[in-house]
Amino acid sequence: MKTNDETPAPADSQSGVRACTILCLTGLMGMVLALLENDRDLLWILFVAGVGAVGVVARWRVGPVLVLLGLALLEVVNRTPHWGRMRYLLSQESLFLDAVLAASMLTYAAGHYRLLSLTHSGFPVDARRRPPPAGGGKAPAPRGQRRSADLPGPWELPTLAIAACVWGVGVSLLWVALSAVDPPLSMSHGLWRGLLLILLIGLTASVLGGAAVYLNWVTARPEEHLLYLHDAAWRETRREQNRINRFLAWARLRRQRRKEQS
Amino acid sequence: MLTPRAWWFLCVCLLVLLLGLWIGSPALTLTPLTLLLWFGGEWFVFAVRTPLAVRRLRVVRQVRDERGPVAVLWAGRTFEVVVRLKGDGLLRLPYAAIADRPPFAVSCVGEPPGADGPVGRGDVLELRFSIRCRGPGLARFEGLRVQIADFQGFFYHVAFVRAVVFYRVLPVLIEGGTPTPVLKRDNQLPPPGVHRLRRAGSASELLDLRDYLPGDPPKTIAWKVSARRDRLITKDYESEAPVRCTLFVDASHSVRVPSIHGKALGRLVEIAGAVLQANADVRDLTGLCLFDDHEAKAIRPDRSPAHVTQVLQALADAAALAPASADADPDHLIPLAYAFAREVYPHLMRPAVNDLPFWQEWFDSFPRYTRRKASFIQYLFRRKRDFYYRFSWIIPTLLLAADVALLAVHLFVYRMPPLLLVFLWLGSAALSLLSFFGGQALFVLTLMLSDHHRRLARRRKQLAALFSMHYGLGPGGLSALLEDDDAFALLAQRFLGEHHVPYTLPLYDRDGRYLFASPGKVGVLAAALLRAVGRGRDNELFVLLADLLELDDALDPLLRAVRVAVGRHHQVVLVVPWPSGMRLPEDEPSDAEAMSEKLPVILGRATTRRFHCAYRRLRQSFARLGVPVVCAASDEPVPLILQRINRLRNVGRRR
Repeated sequence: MKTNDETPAPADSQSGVRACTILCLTGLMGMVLALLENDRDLLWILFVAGVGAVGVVARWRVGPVLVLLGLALLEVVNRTPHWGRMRYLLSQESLFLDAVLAASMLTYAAGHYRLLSLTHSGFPVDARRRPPPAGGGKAPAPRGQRRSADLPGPWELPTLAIAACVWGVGVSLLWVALSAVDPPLSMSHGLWRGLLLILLIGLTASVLGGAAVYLNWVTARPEEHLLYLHDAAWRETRREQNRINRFLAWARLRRQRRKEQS
Repeated sequence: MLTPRAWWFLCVCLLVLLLGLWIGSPALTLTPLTLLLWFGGEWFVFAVRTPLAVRRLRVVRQVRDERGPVAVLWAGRTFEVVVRLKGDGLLRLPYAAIADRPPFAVSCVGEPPGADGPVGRGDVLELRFSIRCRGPGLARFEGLRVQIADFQGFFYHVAFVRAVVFYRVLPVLIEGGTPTPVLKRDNQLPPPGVHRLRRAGSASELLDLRDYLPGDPPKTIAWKVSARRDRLITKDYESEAPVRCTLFVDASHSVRVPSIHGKALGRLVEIAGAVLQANADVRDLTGLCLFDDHEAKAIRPDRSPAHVTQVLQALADAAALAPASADADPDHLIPLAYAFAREVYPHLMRPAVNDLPFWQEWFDSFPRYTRRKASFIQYLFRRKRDFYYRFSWIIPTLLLAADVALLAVHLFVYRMPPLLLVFLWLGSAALSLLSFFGGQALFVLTLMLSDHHRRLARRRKQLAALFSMHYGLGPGGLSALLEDDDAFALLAQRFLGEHHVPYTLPLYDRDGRYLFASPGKVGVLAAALLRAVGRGRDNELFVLLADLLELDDALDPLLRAVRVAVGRHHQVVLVVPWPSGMRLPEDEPSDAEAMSEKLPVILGRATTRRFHCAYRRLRQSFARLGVPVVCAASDEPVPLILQRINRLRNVGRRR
């Protein structure tokens, strides 16, 4: 049972924060190794890893986004000499190393965001103004609510690391399966894979989104259904209803005015 | 549901994925693809788990003091609240944060409470905090606000687990007050009409000793006397003739109006509670009559503990009443009611079930007819559609029709000079264009200037839908509330009052009349007093705790009723509530006092003087009948009432 009685220790000294930091740095290390094995430019690799490490230490909120953009920059720079000569180098690069890179990036990103939840805020900041303190002075600035640093259990981060590996391997296998489908109508491989990917992701998102919306309606309370019906009835007949009620309000006010005058 | 953090992450992932597909890099495709699919998986798990788990959440609340759980609270005391959130379903929410919203009638000691962690399937979140009750009334605990998120902070859901619990805050107990004499000093029979029952009864005072008769209860045998006289002697006890006191407490809107220091009704309830407890200590009977503009609810005098509890509960319920006025401006109530509804009814305020699309905000406006004076922007906002149609379509169409008519006249009726005809046509075309573009420009300008009013309109629609559903008005209620300002204002006040949310109301109408004078209560009070006099068996004390200031014109029925009561040897005391922060009647400022030239000070002085004059007039009116009038804000009322009760108790001794 969790209570609010326990006095929290400073966030940095908590085991959960330390574990998240170690996990992020491990993810970064995996990325560096995968990129090195893929013969990327060492300088760029160190740049991306440096941004990621500083992001972890300084708890930057844009850390994972910067690392991902850095990775994209690294790949673009790596491709620039071969531009137009060979666009698809799938056969020359190791799929295993790509899976390692993806799993490492996922580990880093998830670990970093969990670290942010522990040190900054786990929920959107409530921007509503707070009342000033009783003794006077300015109202306190809105502050995010952190996740208590002692909440991560002993199995939370190992589970995340294993899940990242599973996702990396699973998506790589999906990519292989997509690559195995021959493009129709002399379409290029890249375009065909892109179309297949968009179709697959869009279809899955639509089905799952529909299921989630349906579940929301199924689990909604009776008053929500009633309110929805009220709203629908109003939307469909609002012109007529407004006209009638406007007339009634006008008549009532006129009667009241006459009564006051008499 | 998605947090800004998630939106950034999603957008950058999509961007990098497209880049990877474009440049044909498997590494740059697989990495964002993995992130995206993981993100989607996390979202789906969150979206499925949250609604299923939230509906199985339960709140268990306990309020306790140092001795254990309590069912009622007492004003001025501190209590500990323990509230637990548990889930009885199979699903478990891995991360939730809970926050309790202490009732408005109490103040939270220390920081507002909160806790976070997993909940459901054996995991329980618990909050402990202390509250201090400010004054008598009702403490309404609505439930717990539950914020649910994933570990990464990507997805977010707010729910409110409603578990409405009421705790009555009873008036503070008097400890160590002026001791009331309870000893009987003589047994003389008072004169007719003012009598004490000196006959055998079941009281505790000894009346007489007599020989034992078969059938007398053995417990009344006086054993020592029996042993001395060598025969059984039994004790006769005196029958009690307790003093009856009836408290008439004003619960009309005039005493419910809140101020910084609380409501006037709170002070009246404190006085009534103090008298009730003092009477209960000496086993006198106390009755209660709560009255307002329309009705009076009476509780007959009694002295049992259950009766005392019942009266205290009735007083606490009365203290929690909120004022209402149809003259309140809905635009002032909407922000408060909307914020509260968003907090406590988030499921009924979400756009999926209750929304006003933005295009309706642009074209719809309500209410059309209202008693309140509108600002220029407000006027434009309410009439924007009319102006748009008139200027952009109706006037150009009419001008076009006029052109055609002019041409017809020119061709068939009267030949005009061609120059004049061309001039009229050109003028008409210019006017049409001017009207058309003017209408468009006015419409756009109105939309640009009326952002605040559009926001208010959206909130009003959402609140109207909520009220319509909450109070069972049916589908037509929504539209009626949008068009009827007074009905909406009354329902908004009812909604806020039911949830004990304090709100401010205008005290005067546009003609400067006080809105809460409630002259109708005088007749109700007079009728209730006459009823009590008619039921009186003995001489009683009637305490009128009523706001009668500035009701000189309507006092006649009450004065007649008081005359009847006094004529039957009853005692009457009038306690008048006094605005908080105002100088007491005994402390009237003299004319010689330095007068500041600041307008608020001058107005405050004038108001004080007005109240003092009204108090003086009231005192004079009742002094003719021998009825003392005291101000509730002073320390006089309770001692005076207890002194009057003692006078009734000792009546006849002087004769």
